[in-house]
Amino acid sequence: MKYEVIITSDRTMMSNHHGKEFLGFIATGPPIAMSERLWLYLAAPKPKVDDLGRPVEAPYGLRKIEAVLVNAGFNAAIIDPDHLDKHVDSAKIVMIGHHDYFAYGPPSSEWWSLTGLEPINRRSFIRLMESPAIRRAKKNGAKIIVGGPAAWQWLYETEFVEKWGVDTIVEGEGERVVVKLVEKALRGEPLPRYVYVGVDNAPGVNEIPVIKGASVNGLVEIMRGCPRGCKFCSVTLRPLRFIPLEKILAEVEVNLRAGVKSTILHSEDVLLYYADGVKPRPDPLIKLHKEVLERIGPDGSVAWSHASLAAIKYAEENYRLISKLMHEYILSEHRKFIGVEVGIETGSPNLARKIMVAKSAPYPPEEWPSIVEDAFRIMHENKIIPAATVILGIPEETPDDVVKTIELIDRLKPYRSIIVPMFFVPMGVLKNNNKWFLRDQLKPEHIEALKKMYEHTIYWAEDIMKVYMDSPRYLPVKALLKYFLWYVKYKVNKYMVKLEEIVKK
Amino acid sequence: MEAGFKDPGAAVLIIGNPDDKCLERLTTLYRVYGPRGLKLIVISNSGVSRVLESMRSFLQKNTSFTIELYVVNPGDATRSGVDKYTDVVTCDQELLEALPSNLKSKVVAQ
Repeated sequence: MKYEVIITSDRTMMSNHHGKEFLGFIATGPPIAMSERLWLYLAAPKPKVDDLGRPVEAPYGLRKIEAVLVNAGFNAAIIDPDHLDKHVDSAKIVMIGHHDYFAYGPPSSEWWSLTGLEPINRRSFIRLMESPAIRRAKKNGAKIIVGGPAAWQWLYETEFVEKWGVDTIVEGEGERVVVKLVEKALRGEPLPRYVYVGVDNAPGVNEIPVIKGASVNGLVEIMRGCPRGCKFCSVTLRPLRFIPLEKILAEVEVNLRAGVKSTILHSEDVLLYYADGVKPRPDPLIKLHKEVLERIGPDGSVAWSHASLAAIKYAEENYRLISKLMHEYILSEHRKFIGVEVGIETGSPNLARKIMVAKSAPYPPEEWPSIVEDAFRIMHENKIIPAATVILGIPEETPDDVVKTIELIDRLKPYRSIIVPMFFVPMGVLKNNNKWFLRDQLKPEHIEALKKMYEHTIYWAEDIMKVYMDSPRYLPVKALLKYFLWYVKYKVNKYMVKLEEIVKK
Repeated sequence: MEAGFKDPGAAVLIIGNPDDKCLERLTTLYRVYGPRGLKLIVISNSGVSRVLESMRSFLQKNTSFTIELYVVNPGDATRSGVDKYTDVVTCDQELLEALPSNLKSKVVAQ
């Protein structure tokens, strides 16, 4: 089988991360306490592929592009990076997607800045682009089109655009534009070097196709866009669309047919599925969970990609919806918890009002710290384990804002969770701000905040690991993670002293 | 059901690698024509990398409208596929003089 369009990414993206999405984040750091090879094994083991090198599970964004092209009649497929050589002589177009091509996104840029070492995702992507297969494709005249959520990073690496012969950079939602680009490339017409897909070209719900093959860990999109308008976030620039239940279920079935029994319900705010503005509605959420869980059965795992803390509080306090979803539908003998990413971002109501005025809605931003606390308590009581982010170095941040964040983290200590610091990266409406927050800009209060988050996460890490990886097949991964945690504990105090010295200077 | 890609409705020819003054002018044009979608054709002999570098701040300010950016060598300037430009921004007078006569007359006529 020959493909005219091949769609790919590097190893850090093309992996199911041992069936544990969160392990994928390890690729955002440089290898610490172990070799790069071992680190890569931990974060991104090679996936199962067929004879043609097509992975059983592939990143969801690439699956969408593949589905659009196949539906439009093109001969396109996702190919694992180790198997590109089977196809580069026939391919006319190589399409590449990534979440963080050059490690400029959060949290890669932060680990890079703190350690001074290049993160694995960047190294792995550069290796892909300099691989004999990609070079041969280019030599054969194939067009290279890059896109995905990290497309903006190419504007900071323009020399690579020239060096690797990247023909087009696509920023924004790809469904409509890719067909036009592929048609142009196949006709030999000049391609735009850069395309920004505006709101007028965002696909309608009917234009978002059902994926053709399984997505990594069964990720299925239930909504696109977000109504909260946080200034540091790019998703909020997209119009809000709800994916109809039948499409969601069709994708769950695609995953099940490929043997993927887990489902990650993906949205920037899962609880806002068919919500009344920012107020969750029980009926659509119960129906969604009931239907999905009926299909994946009692032993299939389920997770929410993201949820907002305000929605968690509102849903529980008004409808006891979190308890109902967890105890009547989700939790089972095999599903002892679910994981979700949540954004704290700051503990300061003042800063919340400035940069994320609607994140607390329907509650006022003045109540933000208590919303965070209440939501953490609700999650803890209902076996939801959040991985929370806190952004340091947001423009307009004052020392008092950071102190309020430190105080909030202290109050979150009783709740099972991990809290990850993120250094500010200019994205969303702040993308032209260009003020990356880096190690040199750390102040004493930032060091204190880093310490608090580290202590909180270490306090809960082993407990979480026990439930997160309770099957014997995770023993090698668990052993590596335990060793890593031991090493971090051993080194961190010395490192904090070093950081304090840098701050003093 | 299938709406398909809506091509940009305005085309702006940029002659030369844009400097700050040109970007200022381009920003004005963006405010006027942006909602129609913008096709930008940069004629430059300084390479894609430098053009993207110069355009970065302009491109990053955009969070709403469709923008297509083409970078062409002066020798390929007539192959841009655009019949009529909505506006022209001249950043390099020498490059303007060196353009093929049919394109140059089009530009001057603007």
